[in-house]
Amino acid sequence: MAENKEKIPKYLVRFHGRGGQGAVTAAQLCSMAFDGPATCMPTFGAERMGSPVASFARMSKDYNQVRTNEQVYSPQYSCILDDTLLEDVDCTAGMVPGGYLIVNTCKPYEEIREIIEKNNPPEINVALIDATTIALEYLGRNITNTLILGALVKVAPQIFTLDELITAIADQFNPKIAQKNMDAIKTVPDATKIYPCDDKVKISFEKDYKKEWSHIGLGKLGAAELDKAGVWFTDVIDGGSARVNTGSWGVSYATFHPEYCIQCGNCVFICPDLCIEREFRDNKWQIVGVDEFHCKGCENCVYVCPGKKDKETGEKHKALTMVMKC
Amino acid sequence: MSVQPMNPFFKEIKKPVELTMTGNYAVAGAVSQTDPDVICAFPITPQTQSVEGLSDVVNHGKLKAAFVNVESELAACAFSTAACAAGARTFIATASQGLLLMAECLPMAPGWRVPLTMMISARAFNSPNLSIWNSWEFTLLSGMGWNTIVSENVQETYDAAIIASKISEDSLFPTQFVHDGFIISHSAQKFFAIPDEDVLKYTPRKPRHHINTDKTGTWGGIVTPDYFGEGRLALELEKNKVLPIMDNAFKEFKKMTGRSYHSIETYNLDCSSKTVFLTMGSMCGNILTWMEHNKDVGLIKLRTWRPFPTEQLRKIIEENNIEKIIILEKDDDLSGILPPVGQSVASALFGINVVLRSLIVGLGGRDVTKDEIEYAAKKMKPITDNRGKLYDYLGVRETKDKMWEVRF
Repeated sequence: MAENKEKIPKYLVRFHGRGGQGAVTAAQLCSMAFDGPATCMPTFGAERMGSPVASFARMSKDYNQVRTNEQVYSPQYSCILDDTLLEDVDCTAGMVPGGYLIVNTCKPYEEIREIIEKNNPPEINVALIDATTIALEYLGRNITNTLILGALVKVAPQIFTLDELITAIADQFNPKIAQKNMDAIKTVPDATKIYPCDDKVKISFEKDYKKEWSHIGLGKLGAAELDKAGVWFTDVIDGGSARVNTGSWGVSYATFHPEYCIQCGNCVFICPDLCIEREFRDNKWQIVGVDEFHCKGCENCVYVCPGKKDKETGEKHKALTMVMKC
Repeated sequence: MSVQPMNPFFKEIKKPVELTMTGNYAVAGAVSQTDPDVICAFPITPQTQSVEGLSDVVNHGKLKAAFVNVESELAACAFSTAACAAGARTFIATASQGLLLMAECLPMAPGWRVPLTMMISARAFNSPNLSIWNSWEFTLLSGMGWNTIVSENVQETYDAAIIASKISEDSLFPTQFVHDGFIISHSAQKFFAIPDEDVLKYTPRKPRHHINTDKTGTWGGIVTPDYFGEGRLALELEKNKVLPIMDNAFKEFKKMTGRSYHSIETYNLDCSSKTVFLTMGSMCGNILTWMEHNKDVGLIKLRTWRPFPTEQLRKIIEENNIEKIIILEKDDDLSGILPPVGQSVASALFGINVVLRSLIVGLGGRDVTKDEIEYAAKKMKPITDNRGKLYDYLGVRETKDKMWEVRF
């Protein structure tokens, strides 16, 4: 009896996304679609639109396997909702050999492989899906969580079927949005491209791959080194936003055109990340540019900018405009 | 909104149904089923969604309750206690600093014997740093006379919301039910919801003393030394009757749903090593999954934290000849005798020949994984007496490249 129990598979899935893309909802849909005990949880914390977030789902027919409230450290499937995350976060961390990395991207396979090889992942398969294009076509917004689940169904049909997923979506969303998602998701399996690894590597659903104390991670300061624990000395403890590259969060960033600026200062006050750069010139503070490292593309500055008329054409231009990345 | 988390509770639940929800929303659903008259709470992470969910149900019109917005937790607690004293069934929720701000008001509800129900999403106190994540703050304020039950997962916290309402009403002492902040409050899990009709039958409204213009009285007025001690003893005598009332509530709940709860639950106590873990809340799940592969250790899970089930615990330890207890807890008492859970267990077991050590784990929301559990079990093996230091921290870094070694 005990031996039989060992063989009941345990499915572990991790989702990487940016705040607002629906990574948490994806994990929840996963546990709803699975026929049996399942739990899901986000990486707990305050999240801002665009900040990197992760969420997990743990599923097994054996309740005792999923009774734990631990987070998932060795997923068999890692789903990435936004390919810019591959550069910022180690999306393959702790992955089970023979597992699948599912990426929403329009880039070619070789380019993606090159990025993930930097983190020395184990032998894993890669599946690519251009979910953003599908999402913009069907939903009108870049929300790809349900579509990435469609790709998950393609690479791992044993977890849940497309029908089960569609039922879960119908339960979770209001009818109008659910219908749009259902239409979009049907196109996903055909659009998913799989690049398999060495077929000698067999994926395991029973073994535990967690490395000891990997959830704590040595390298950061310990108790003996924090003599004034609670006081932030920002040169030793991560604190403040100076080093947080919020610039990588958005799809666009603001640029400054000095010729149309009337120096009203509206943008300085509205910017949530203090990205409008100023210099003290001619006895007053003047706006000179935008800090691209921190600009996450909220467009608030563009909205408040009154602009200035072009002397030659008479047309009104704003001093701040949005530029798409890539 | 594209996602409607409270949707299943907008209409009447007619038969047991399986739902997937986060802990907070599940509690909101359960509370809406118990038909409260007044909901009054101030938002604080990680409790917020429970009240948010309830405001949804009230706004939708299914629940006819007064949803009161107040300016702070102190006001929320004062308002709720008064509403409850006026005869309303009242729900309140908080966490961490909110509980501290309420502290001034907390002893009043047991004092006046009003059946208030409160949810706590356990979260750390802000010291030395602000943390919005899970630690057990409620253990440090447990001497106020509130009944406290602790839940392991979403199913249990959903059920606890309903059971707590009954316990309050039956015992006329306010009841807190606790789940681990974020770990349960924000984790979506499957659970079975109970039909509305059954919930209402399980938590009937009973006639009780309340503020009344026909029979006037003073609530909480000053008494001279002639009466104060008598008042406290009267409370103590009544409080002694609460544990059997709780057991009865659990028993009736089992009759209704088939789900069996006890003040203390035990797993695998006839193990070969005669060593058991003793803990509460979400960590029990982690230990039980770990025990699938490690059969020589048992688990004692405390569901009732206050009133502390002393006699039951003593009986379990003596009958099963338990030799060693490893207490895992998410709170500390800087340079104290033992951390709060350890203190209660040690004094409950005073005089019984058992070796115990308390380990402080998972502070500020750090995950408690099989690493901690394995380490604790291994560390306990050579220990044979209660001499030396009885507690230590586990799973923290001592320096950049070394984990803190537990020293007993």
